[in-house]
Amino acid sequence: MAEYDADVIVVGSGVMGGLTAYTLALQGKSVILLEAGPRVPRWKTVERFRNLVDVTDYNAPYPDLDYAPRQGSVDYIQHTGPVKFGAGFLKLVGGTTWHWGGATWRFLPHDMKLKSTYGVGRDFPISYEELEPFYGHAEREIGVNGNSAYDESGRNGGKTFPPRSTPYPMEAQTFNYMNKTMQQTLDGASYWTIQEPNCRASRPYAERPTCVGNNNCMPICPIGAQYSGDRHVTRAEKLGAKVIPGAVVYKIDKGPGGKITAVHYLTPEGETHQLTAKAFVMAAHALETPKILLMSDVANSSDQVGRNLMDHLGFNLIMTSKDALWPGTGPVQQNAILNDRDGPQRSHYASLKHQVGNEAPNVPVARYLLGKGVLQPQLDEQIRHMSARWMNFNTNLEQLPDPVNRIKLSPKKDKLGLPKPDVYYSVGEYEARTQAKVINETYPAFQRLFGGTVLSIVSDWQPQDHQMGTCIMGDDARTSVVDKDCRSWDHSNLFIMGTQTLPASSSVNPTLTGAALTLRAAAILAKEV
Amino acid sequence: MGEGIGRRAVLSVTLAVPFLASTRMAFAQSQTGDSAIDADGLHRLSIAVIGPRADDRLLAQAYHAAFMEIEPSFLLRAASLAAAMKTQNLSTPEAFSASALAQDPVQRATAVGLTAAWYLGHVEHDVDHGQPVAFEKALMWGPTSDIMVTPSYARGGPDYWARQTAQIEKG
Ligand SMILES: Cc1cc2nc3c(=O)[nH]c(=O)nc-3n(C[C@H](O)[C@H](O)[C@H](O)COP(=O)(O)OP(=O)(O)OC[C@H]3O[C@@H](n4cnc5c(N)ncnc54)[C@H](O)[C@@H]3O)c2cc1C
Ligand code: SF4
Repeated sequence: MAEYDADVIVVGSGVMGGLTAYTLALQGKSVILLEAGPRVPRWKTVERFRNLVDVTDYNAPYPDLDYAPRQGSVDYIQHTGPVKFGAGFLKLVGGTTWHWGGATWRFLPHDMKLKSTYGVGRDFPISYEELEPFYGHAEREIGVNGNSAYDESGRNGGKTFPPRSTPYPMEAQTFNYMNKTMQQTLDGASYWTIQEPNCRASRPYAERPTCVGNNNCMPICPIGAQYSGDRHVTRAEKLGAKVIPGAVVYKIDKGPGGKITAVHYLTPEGETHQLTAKAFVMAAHALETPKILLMSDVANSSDQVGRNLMDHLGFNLIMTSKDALWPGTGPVQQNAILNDRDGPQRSHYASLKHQVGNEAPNVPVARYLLGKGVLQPQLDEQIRHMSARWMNFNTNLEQLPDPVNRIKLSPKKDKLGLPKPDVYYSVGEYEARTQAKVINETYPAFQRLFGGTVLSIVSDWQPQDHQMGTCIMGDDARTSVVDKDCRSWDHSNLFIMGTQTLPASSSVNPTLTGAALTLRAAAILAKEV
Repeated sequence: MGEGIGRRAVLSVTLAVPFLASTRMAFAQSQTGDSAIDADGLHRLSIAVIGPRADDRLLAQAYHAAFMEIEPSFLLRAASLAAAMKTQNLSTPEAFSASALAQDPVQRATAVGLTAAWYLGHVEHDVDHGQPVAFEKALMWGPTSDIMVTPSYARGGPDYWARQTAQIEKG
């Protein structure tokens, strides 16, 4: 009988678990991927989407099971802080990137040295230069399109930044009419608008067809032109990795010398199983990973597990422009306005990114007009007029890590008898001050530039679905959970992969950074097992 | 069914109007109708209130069944509106909107409730609960369909969105 069930057991089959399993399987390692949720084919999700009451609820087409509750599941997350923590996650083979916006940004060198550059937040224990080759690797694996000549900092005089040793693997998609026109107007007024790097195939790429602009990237790309985590899970399986869906991990065993020896999982029917391996990877995202560690009293000598919970803080200006710009053609998001992404102001004001959404706005427009009692024969004409002019400016702020924002184990239990997550979440002065400045100064400027009529400024914090920080990375075992290799300070054969390790959030979407750190750590792990 | 704090199209939630609840309240304060409208009657009423885009018998039957499931009393209110429109000989949206009947809050609320179902493609209790009827054939997509895409359906192939400038600028 083999000494171990596998060389490596990976918990969670999202993009991070998939990339890890694929990297290891490619090196001939035996891998078992444990996934709490079920396997669901793409067509089924498309069909469920088209049969929804609220087609704007990104979570609704995905399974919400009593043994694997997803975001939005009633009474799963126990909110204990002043702000409700609403960031999204899914539980199925492939994970949350089934319904992501597909934005795949690199962090800037300053994002990773926030404390030493601007005196706030925390530093990464790794530099941009050291991570740079792995960013390139992640872009090739995930299949990213972008413009390699762009200044993505808004502060490098239009020259490529951050530095890159390899170009984007695919050319940037073209802008639609709204984005082109908007870019001209904004740049004419000294804004800095660029095309957002993203993982929609701008040409056939790694078994994915070219994006044809179905405008449905969230909640589901019907043709799989956009990358989702199931891609690498499938590739890992083809190389011999074993995936077990419906395996809810609830306990990790520690052995002599601080080594992890086994994980335990429950099936939906409540049967328990135990598996052993040489090394273990926790890739169950930023809410469930710390929950499992806390349940097992593992990796927490620093008392930082579950703490420093961050998301990007979102708020919106919704208005109609004077001229018809026509959002809703092509992919759901294409642009980013980056003037305040970096700069000395970050000592006092959070980094931020604005984006004008490109989702077909017919649902909110029809609701708005019907709510005002508009009927035919005016209704069709007004839907057309308003939809063509709909502008949804969404602003994302960087949130600083604060140990009080944390996940704990609730005394309340789920159907399998496991504790639900208690989440204390709050927003600090730094972020609130930045929001006030944007609402008072930037939004009126946008309004003037587009001759806008404001419909709403939604200043309640909107979750941006980018949970980070709960297994924070650092260079000191006393104040962090993992080192720069994503290895637990307490257990040498335990790795934590994903955005939960990020010690700073930047204002751009975090998955590519999580993936670069994951690929780097997986390569290290592959040499050890 | 959820907690309702996710990142969905912000205004869908903030502007959620309980269409049926408002017709219900308005109607409760008025007289009750005789009997519920049948599917063919709902089909005719839909054409009269919405216009030819609602001339789809199968869909009218499906909306009828959905109202029956979610809010059967709406079909009484629809019967009352249909009777009033017949009496006043109103058979098009233009005629209805120009009539005094369209200013009657009870009858107007019924017309909005019916229109909301056809445009949004479902009969709803609230933004999260209801009965879906149509997606692609929900009438809200039609007014923009020459330029926009109905989400999840393909049109024009890769990069079609980069080739629309002339069409858009023509107006
Ligand atoms: C609507 C939306 C839009 C987004 N858009 C973007 C974007 O544009 N760009 C970007 O960078 N990021 C975006 N994100 C965030 C992105 O989806 C996440 O960063 C990413 O999915 C994290 O990958 P992961 O593999 O760590 O976690 P996940 O993809 O969540 O996968 C984790 C897996 O672990 C499984 N799991 C959980 N608990 C257990 C357990 N106890 N036992 C076994 N398995 C378990 C889960 O079922 C899940 O399948 C978006 C998120 C949402 C919700
Ligand atoms: S625009 Fe359409 S084809 Fe392209 S990625 Fe989004 S959903 Fe897929």
